[in-house]
Amino acid sequence: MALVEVKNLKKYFVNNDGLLYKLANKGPINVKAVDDVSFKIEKEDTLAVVGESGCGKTTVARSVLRLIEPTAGEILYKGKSINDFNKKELKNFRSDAQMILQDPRSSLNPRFIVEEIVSEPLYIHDQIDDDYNLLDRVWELLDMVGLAKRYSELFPHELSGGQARRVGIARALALQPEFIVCDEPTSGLDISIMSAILNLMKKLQQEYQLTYLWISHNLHEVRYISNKVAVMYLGKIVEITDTDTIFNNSVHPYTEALFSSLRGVNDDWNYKEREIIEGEVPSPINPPSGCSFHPRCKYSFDKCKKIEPELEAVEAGHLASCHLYN
Amino acid sequence: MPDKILKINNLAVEYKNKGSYLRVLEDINLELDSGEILALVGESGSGKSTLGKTILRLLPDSARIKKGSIFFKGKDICNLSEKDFNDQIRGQEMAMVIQNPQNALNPVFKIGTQILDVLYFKSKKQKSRKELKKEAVQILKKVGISDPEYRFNEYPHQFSGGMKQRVMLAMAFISNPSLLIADEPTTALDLTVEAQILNLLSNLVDEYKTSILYISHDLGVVAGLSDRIAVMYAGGIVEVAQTRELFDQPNHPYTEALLKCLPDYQQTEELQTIPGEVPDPGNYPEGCKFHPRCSYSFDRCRQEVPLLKEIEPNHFSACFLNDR
Repeated sequence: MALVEVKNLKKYFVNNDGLLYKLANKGPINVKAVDDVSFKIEKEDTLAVVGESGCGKTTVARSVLRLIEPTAGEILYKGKSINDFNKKELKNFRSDAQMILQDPRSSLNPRFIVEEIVSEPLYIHDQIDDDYNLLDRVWELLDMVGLAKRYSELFPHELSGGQARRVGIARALALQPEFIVCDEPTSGLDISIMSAILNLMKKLQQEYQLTYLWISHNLHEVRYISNKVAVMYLGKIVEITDTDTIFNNSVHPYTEALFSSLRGVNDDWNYKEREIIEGEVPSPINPPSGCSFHPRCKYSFDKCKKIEPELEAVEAGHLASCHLYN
Repeated sequence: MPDKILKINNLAVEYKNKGSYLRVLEDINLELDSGEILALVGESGSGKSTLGKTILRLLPDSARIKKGSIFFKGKDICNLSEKDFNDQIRGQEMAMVIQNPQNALNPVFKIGTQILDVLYFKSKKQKSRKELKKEAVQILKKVGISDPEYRFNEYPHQFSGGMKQRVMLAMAFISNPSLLIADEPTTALDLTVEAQILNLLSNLVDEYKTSILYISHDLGVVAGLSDRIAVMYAGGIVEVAQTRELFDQPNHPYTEALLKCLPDYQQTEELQTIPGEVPDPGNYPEGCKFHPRCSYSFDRCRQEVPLLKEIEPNHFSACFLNDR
């Protein structure tokens, strides 16, 4: 049984604000942030969700933790739907599934010292015997993420970006979770700090048998950390398979375009000669007909403009939604 | 030997901080040939943006040039009066593209109006804005904005990030500058859009023969864009080399360590890291500023400051290991 299973998840944001808009009386507009997304995450796997801004990857992450309610679809955690959880089950789920937020600094309370930040989940979930134990536990958690004891007395503004990120990770680990959603945990960090955080996350995963849902737009990082990749475009998964396959034998034209804009330092190349995909991601308010990628796709033909392709198996364990292959 | 468009000698810049001065740039020596793209890379706080601003004289009042000189086309621009600099150099001979295009465009004026302003001043206020409109639409078309006549009358918030950066490039190239300073112009953009902008930039450089000082922290980007790379660490330049040579044979331990940190897509074993963090200005260690984090450091590194030396033709490095 998969640890997390997402079935036909849909999340539409309704846009009907504004006086002028109401006067025009056009009825609500659905912004299809996530449109029919399904995937499974097995225990101790890392599924990376990649895509450009506005493709819905953060909305998926938030839905999986029930931080927002989906419009339709089901999310199963250990075989049980998280939207049917009762109060007690939900509280257990909240300690089992944690999140590492994107901005390392703004996700920490500026008025708390590190000790309070890291121990707050322990208070909320009633896992405290006495104060002496608590500080020991905080030190242990800081040690797990590579911070010395003295950091427990500092405020977030006294930390560097990399240290603040480590505190965020320590807080996520406080309740010994099984599943962590990581929303671009390395964005905004310098290269040398980023590699240290990636090493740490991989080490923690092995030590504590963690399962990650890893949101990212950095493909180098995805290659290193994940064993499965889902590529999203305009609210839909266009290709999903294991990491090696997506880097070596991807089939969807969007994946191909995205990975061709990958910038390596190992080989000799330049932007002048490189083939570059045209256009930008269209607005999810008014997506193109048929395959939503067809206006930018160099292989598109008539069928692409009319019929939306389904996510189907190209080979075992490799799904793609493209008329070229199905 | 092509002419040097920019020559920086022993430049040092300080910021005022609580009554004393903090040295943020030290002993910067850099040359830029005409038509060349030089990338300035380094981690945050290494002083790369400060260097870019110093060249364009955009430093805040709390900063001062302690010593050194900047020669632009053979002319010392540090001693020009503010008025002369504005009339002759800034926006004419030198232009800048900044990181966040949203902040660079005025939100209450139409895109077209803002381009017309630049054209109007370029024509020395001789032509009317009406006459210049055709030219402005042409420029929008050239940087790849579809339906330029319609887009001309739109406001910045109606443009996507990539399109705004295209407009910024268009405005920078209107005066046909000899030097463009680009401060991380693609950091806020998506991967595919970033590639489009850099492709456009490469083509504009070919057409206008402009030299570019490209400031970036992304080694992947500069690998595909620049002719030469200068690596900065803690306010100084530690290595300068041709792009391929720097990646294939890095000389300075910092460059070497930085390259090993990259999770480039061919490797999956454990990533290397650099122990410690970039020191803050005012807290720089004695001797070589990299020595506390360097795995090769020896006694001399702790006592003396290494200077940038030519170790091979056109390959400069500031490290005592080359003297041993």
